[in-house]
Amino acid sequence: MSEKKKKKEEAVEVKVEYKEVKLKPKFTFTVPVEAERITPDNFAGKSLDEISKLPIYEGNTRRALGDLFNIEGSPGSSALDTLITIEGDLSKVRRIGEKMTNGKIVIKGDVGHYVGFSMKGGSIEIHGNAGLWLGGKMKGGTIEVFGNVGDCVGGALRGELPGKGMKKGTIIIHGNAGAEVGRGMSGGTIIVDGSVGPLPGVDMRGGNIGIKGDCEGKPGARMAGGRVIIVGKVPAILPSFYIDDIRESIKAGPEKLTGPFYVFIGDVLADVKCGGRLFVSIPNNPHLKHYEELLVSVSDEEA
Amino acid sequence: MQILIKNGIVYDPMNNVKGEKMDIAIKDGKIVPDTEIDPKKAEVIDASNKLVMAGGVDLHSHIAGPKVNTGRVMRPEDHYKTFMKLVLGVRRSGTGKTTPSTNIIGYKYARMGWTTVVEPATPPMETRHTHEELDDIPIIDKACFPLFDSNIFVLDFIENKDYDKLAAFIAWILDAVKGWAIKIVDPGVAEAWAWGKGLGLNLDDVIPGRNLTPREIVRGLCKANEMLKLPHPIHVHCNRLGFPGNYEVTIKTMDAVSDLYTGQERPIIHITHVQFTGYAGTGWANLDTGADEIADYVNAHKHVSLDLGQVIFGDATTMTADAPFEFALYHMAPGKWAGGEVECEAASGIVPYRYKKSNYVNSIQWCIGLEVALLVKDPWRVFPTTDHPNAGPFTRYPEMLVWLMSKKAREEILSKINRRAAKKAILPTIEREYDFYEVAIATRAAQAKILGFKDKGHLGVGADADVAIYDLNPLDVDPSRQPDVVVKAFKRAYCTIKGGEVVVKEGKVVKHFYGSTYYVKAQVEEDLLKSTLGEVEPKFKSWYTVSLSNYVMSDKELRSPVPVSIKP
Repeated sequence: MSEKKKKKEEAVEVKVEYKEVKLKPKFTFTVPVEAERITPDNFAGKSLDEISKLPIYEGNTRRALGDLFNIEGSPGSSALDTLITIEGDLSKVRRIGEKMTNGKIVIKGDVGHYVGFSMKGGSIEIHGNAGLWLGGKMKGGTIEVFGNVGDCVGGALRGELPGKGMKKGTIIIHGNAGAEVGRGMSGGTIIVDGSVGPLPGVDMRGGNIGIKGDCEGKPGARMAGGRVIIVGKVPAILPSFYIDDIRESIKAGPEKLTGPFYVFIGDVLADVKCGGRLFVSIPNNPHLKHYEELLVSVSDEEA
Repeated sequence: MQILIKNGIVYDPMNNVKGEKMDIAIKDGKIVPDTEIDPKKAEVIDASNKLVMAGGVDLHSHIAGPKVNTGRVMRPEDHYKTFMKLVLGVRRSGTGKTTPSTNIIGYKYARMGWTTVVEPATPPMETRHTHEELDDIPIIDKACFPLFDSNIFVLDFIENKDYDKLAAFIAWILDAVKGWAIKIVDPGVAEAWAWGKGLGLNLDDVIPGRNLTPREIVRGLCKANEMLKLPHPIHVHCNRLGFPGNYEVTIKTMDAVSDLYTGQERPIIHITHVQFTGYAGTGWANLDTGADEIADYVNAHKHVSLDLGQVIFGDATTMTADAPFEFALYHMAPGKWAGGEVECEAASGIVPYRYKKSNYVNSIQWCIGLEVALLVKDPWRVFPTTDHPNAGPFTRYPEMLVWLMSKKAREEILSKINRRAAKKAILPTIEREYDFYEVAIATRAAQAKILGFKDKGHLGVGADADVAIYDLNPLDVDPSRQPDVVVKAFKRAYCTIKGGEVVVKEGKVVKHFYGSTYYVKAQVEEDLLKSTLGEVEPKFKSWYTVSLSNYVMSDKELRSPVPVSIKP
């Protein structure tokens, strides 16, 4: 019950009249730019002059935001009504929207790693491709990407314990995603319209991952909670998963995905209780038909 | 270079200086009488109303070696949280909280006013790696203790009761790998672990595959240690570490060598991280403190010294040469585990851990460390350490010292820990509070004395010029009432001087250079050494994957070795 309530709260969108700040790179960046200061929280209530003086690292050199970007417009009085629009090639720019709590960021162009890392609220829209760890360790808010993204969407960092990834919020990707989607996530929803690389939902402890395209393999490795739903093709299911059921459709966050699906439980290597659920489309995976025999034989015995 | 520290309030227990206002003069890296320096040339440091002590000494801190490095590799998450920036020409950069990079270990110790640190466990065969890392740690002076408890030759000699040859072999290894003292970790367990056995081996259990008990190993190595008259006593990590009810094993281990004490100047056995081996009770659910029993024994017997292994709540990385225990801990605290095995010598394990205030066991552990420190009456024989990084990082020493100095600070934590543990502990009933003099003993004088570093831990004429100045007037500040002030002052020294050079000014590292590495050259009769090596060589050839000539390190491999000759 409590999970449903939380989802309802997220679904309520507040209509705000945003005040816009526009950023445009002054030149093509050749070294990584650490842009964790580009958030509505940092911009809100500041004059353009103050914003252009915010520190930012270009490689190992400390620069001012105004040195790297042309800045126009005016921010809102609080993070809530601040909109930041960034246009241009940002593929070297990292950590945009880190720890933001409210407001909106629109990125028009390709962007680098760690966009929305550890964000707590607000929304980010990316009209282009994004790098690694999009929405990593996210705690709330929404991210929508109209391109492809790299590995570890919503993921925990390397070395962190299972369940330290994304906790809450929604990530919607209209393109393809890389490997380890939802690495170590413990809540929230990730929807991928395209295909994903290997190991979606690795180390997962909760939340939903909906994949409308294909998966390269090993879905849900070491998962002990949450759901991974694959509408497209999967080469094989890991041997540490057991077939449990067949379902017609399943809801992943805001979206309903229709199957029918094989339902697998696992991963027994992570937890003998097999808390994780893996949904794999039946019509797109005829090579998994042999699992149906196991399902029938078990139900016969029980009958 | 000449330095004059003026009007400092000095605590120097070895020379019986107890909070006196005096000047300290430094010339060419040594402390000299005031008259010997030229006041015009000397750099004057105004230390009026400031606390002046010798540089801190830490006798048990895992700062270098193969297992520390494996800890770094397996804990990338530890390195996201903290970093130290590069300052061109002054200091290098580094990351890490519980397993810091080599360079920032030196800076962080110096920032707190510590200048001598010992790496307490290194398998002889991999000590070359340990020295490579020690060489890379700036500022502080270093030494390391090689592991002897499961060395195949040591076990053979003890089995044959051939103590002369055992002593000769130990003297040879200490010289060969440049070690300082004998470290014993859960005696005999690494030997058993090679067969997949040994978890919970008790003091009088027979080691599988050997006609030997851990008691005989401790006694044998203690005898050899006293024959060689090594500067430091045997450094023992007791059997059954981390098992409820193990305080009895600790007391038995201390008692096992009591008859070998013949009035030596220093104790003959040092029990390390006693908190981990001070548990009463029969299981984790009814874990209780064995601190009072251990303290009673130590108060009644002069041959023992202790260090705490005080738990600090927060992140830690447990790493020890007690491989089976780490394997057991991995199953208690699921996450990551690394195990290591060094041929014929030792085994090790690493498990990241987090001490939580809400946890009953962790809360009891926190109490035991402090109880031991407060119940043992003689501050010269109990040393506050955190067994970095096993029970907490060394950077939290200031808080630990303040818990010893202030009942108020203890009560603040006691009110936050697990309630059942707080009710069961003896700690709330203890009134004792350390004063600055006792802190100077426990963190400086006593540790330098038991390590056998004659020029360290004091500020007398002729001592090494390692001085820490804290921005705190000990005559004004009452640590019992103002714990926060003391923590703040101890966290960042006002000034640290190492070897006659100012390395820290107002809490910031201002200079980068490298300290020395101390090792022992014990003297053994040449014939005895020859016959011992004659026995070792053929076995070494058939059992080891390295040749004996590659096993031995030369002085040239160390950055600045300081051999200390010991005459038996």
